[in-house]
Amino acid sequence: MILKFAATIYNGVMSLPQGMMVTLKYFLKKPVTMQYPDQKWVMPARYRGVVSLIFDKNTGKHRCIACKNCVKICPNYSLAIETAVGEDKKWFPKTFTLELGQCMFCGLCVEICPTKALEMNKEYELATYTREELTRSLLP
Amino acid sequence: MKEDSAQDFITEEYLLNMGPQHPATHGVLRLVLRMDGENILDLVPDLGYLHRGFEKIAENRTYKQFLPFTDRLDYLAGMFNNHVYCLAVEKLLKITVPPRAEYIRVLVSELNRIASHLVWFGPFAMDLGAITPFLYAFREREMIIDLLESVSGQRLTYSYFRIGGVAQDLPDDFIVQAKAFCEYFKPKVDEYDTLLSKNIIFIKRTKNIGVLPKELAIDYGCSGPVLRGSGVAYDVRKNEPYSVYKDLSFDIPVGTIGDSLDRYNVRIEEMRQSVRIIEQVLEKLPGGEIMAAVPKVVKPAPGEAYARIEAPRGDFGFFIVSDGSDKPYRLKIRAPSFSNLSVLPELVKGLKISDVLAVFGSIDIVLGDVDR
Ligand code: SF4
Ligand code: SF4
Repeated sequence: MILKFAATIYNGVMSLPQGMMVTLKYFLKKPVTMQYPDQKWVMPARYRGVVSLIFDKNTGKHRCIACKNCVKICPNYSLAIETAVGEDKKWFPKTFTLELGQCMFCGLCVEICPTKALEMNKEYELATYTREELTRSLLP
Repeated sequence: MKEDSAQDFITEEYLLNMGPQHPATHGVLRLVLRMDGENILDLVPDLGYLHRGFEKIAENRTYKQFLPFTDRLDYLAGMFNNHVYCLAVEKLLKITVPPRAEYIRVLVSELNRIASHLVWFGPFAMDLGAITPFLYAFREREMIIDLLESVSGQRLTYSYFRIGGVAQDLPDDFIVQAKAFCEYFKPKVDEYDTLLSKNIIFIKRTKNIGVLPKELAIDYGCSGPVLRGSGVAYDVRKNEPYSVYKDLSFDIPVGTIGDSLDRYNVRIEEMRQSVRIIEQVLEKLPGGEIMAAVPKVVKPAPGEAYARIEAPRGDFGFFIVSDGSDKPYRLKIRAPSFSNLSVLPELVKGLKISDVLAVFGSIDIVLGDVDR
């Protein structure tokens, strides 16, 4: 009885070095961990970050025509637009807000936009101190 | 002081709450254990902590809008959730998906299956006291997640499938990277074997623990590795092939007696099989369209449809009733984890408290899937 017990423990202990060998192999290799706050991620091209309007580099204008397709498709109702008519008789968004706390980063709004006015940027550190900060205006 | 203390000593049963905040419940689940000393008399899973009411939400969203919500059901296997939802809606709409899209779907799904099994493998080992496999499993999983992120843009909540196809084609270097991953991953599974599967301590803790007989598994509606571990070779991919699975060759691993070790072995072998599928898909991937012609507003004719797939945790189904409007009239989700969890009380009766984790881990549930 005691012998059997001892044998079991012996067998168990003896099966450990096998696993240890695997660990030891990695011990001698380079670490795989990234030191996060010091090193930053490079996000892939398709990464879906925060929804934002694309502004033309030269003219500083966006392409939104205030059609509200994005507002309608949004499954979580996180976008809101107030429209207005400009002097050139064209619609434009007077305000354009995103409730970041409500957004689920699905990208449907970007996909549906007829003028390709929206994009999802590469931001990923999105925690804020107050709830109000989560409401973002897409317009400058 | 007194000699008769042994007779006077009154023992009684007691209730032990495991969870809702317990590291080994992998989510929020409360297991109420009725105990006699260290022996388990009964167990009642108390669930619902993660209930978000997705079936009701679906009734208030258009068909296209509901897709991102499905990511959040079984959050370790987002691609499968997308897939089964799209299949159900496509059935309602009677759309045929282009072959390239179907192959891409299978490709990303099988990658996702490996990632999901790795998240089971690591924590399962950790629950039993082996910490190293966890780190290795997550190292490999990270590579898959990076691959899937480069395709879909997100790490877990992919929303990559669309009704009628997939959102975007694969990125340029994806095929090369996926091949490289397969080559990298194959020896890793053998390494897990050395680390854990052959470890005598691990075998002692799982062999003959939580035996689930065939009949009981079928009675409870178990599916996936839990059912196959009990020796029933049932896999939706083989028994009712959807997508392009009938063109691919792969084996269905089964266990013999249905103990925790059998369920473990089935999943380990499934990872190998998934690699096999991925390699075939990468070989066969046809060119062409990735989206079928889908109306701008999805409004299926009145009727109903049921689609099912083999998710990492089992038979996963969506039942949709359409009343002809742009929103589902009723949507019912058949979650594999729910049925698999319901069999847990049968398995742990008479075991010791420390065995609960071995059995519970081998069942592999995701609470997002159980509670919905
Ligand atoms: S990403 Fe999705 S949830 Fe967020 S604003 Fe766009 S449509 Fe709405
Ligand atoms: S869909 Fe595009 S153009 Fe229309 S309101 Fe939204 S951002 Fe503007």
